[in-house]
Amino acid sequence: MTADSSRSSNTDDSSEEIAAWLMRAAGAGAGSKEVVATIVAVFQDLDGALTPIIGPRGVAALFHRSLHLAVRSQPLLAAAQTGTPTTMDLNGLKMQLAAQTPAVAVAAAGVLLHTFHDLLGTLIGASLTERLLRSVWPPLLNSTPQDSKS
Amino acid sequence: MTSKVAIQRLATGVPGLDEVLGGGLPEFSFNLIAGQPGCGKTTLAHQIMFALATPERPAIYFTVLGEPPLKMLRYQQQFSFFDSEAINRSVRFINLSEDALAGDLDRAMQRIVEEVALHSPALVFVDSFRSAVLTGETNGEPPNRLQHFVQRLGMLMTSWQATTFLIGEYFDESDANPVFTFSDGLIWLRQSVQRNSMVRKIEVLKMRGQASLPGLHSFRIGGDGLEVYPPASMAIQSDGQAADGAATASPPPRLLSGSQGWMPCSAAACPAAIHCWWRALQARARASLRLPSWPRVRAAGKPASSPPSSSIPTGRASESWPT
Repeated sequence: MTADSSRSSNTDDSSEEIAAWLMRAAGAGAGSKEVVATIVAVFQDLDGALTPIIGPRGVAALFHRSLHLAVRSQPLLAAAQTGTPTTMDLNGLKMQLAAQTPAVAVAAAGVLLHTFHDLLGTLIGASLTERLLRSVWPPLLNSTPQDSKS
Repeated sequence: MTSKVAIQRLATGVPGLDEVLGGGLPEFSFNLIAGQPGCGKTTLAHQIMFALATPERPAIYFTVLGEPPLKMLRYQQQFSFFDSEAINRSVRFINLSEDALAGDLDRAMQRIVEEVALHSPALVFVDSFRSAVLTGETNGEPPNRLQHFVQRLGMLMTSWQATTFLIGEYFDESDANPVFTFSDGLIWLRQSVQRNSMVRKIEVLKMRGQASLPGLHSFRIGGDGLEVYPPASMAIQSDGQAADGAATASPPPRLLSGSQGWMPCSAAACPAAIHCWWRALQARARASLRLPSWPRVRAAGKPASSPPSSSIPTGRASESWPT
């Protein structure tokens, strides 16, 4: 197994882990509406944790970059890319995921959230990422973003 | 019966800086750290912050419009003093860029007041202050609005018992800038390129309530942050040796005397090693001849074991190396 395929496999596992957590958080038998609400709430928590530190434009830039990267494996997210990255506009994501089945929506959101987490980790390191997101996002703490210091 | 206030002095955690400051930073003081871009202002601020901040004595670092916070966090992590575990526990970063971009100094002040009231920090950093200045200027703010902003900030922070630092980019020290008047401490970082070497100097232009060491003092920025080299007499005192800086005391290993303090010098680590060596040789010759002035002294006679502290100028000296 090559390093690239190993990393891709880890990314898939982490994304699936996040998707499973989202599904559990939405509740048993949850429909698209509840699932999307859960996903949006997670992103709002992220926004709340990071905006005071890096500013709304910083969070928006991370979000848009994550969308751009996640589209490679989740093409349905392409339609969620809206506007200029000055704020984290969740409306596009919300509309796009609401049109999917719950399973597809959480899978796409899992990839996007993992990409966001990984991107932040490459910029400021795994330990600081963990520190900043510790209070709002427990499930991702089990995954290990690429640490730029390592 | 009189009871005078005793000003507590805080150890900065920057090697050599406390000696230059005259015994550390006065608690609740309002300080300005100024200098050109890239001279180490943000690094100095972070180093002091991580050294001083504790859960009982928390710090808030307000970022205005200077370096983007993501980049600042990324690069400052490369220094050993950066402690990720301290973030959101004893150190809190607050971004004010949106308020600053809107050009509303009152709003920025309001945000600072809210955050200070919420977290009761003992240490407050505003980086960078020039951003706030420019914001005021570009939005047609009358000059005294900025003056009021700084004055209010200073009064507020002192009454909130917070030791405060404004980090400002390349102020012109010859300006009659009101910030200089209001501040209790004025720390200037300078840098110049000499041949292919970066020469860094720190100068404490003002430190109310205590006798700081005048003049330019060399410093370096390494993996552990800034390291300041105070004059030899201070180094000897802090080493617990001869308090009067007697010439009989030997300099620490691998340290050579410079006109503004001790410089580390080794052929492997110091690109200016030849100059350091030459200057040390001249200093020793000057000491042996008991000549007070510098330079134009050629090595002659038997060199002393080390130059007396009295031969080290304490006033401002030229930044140029002898050639």
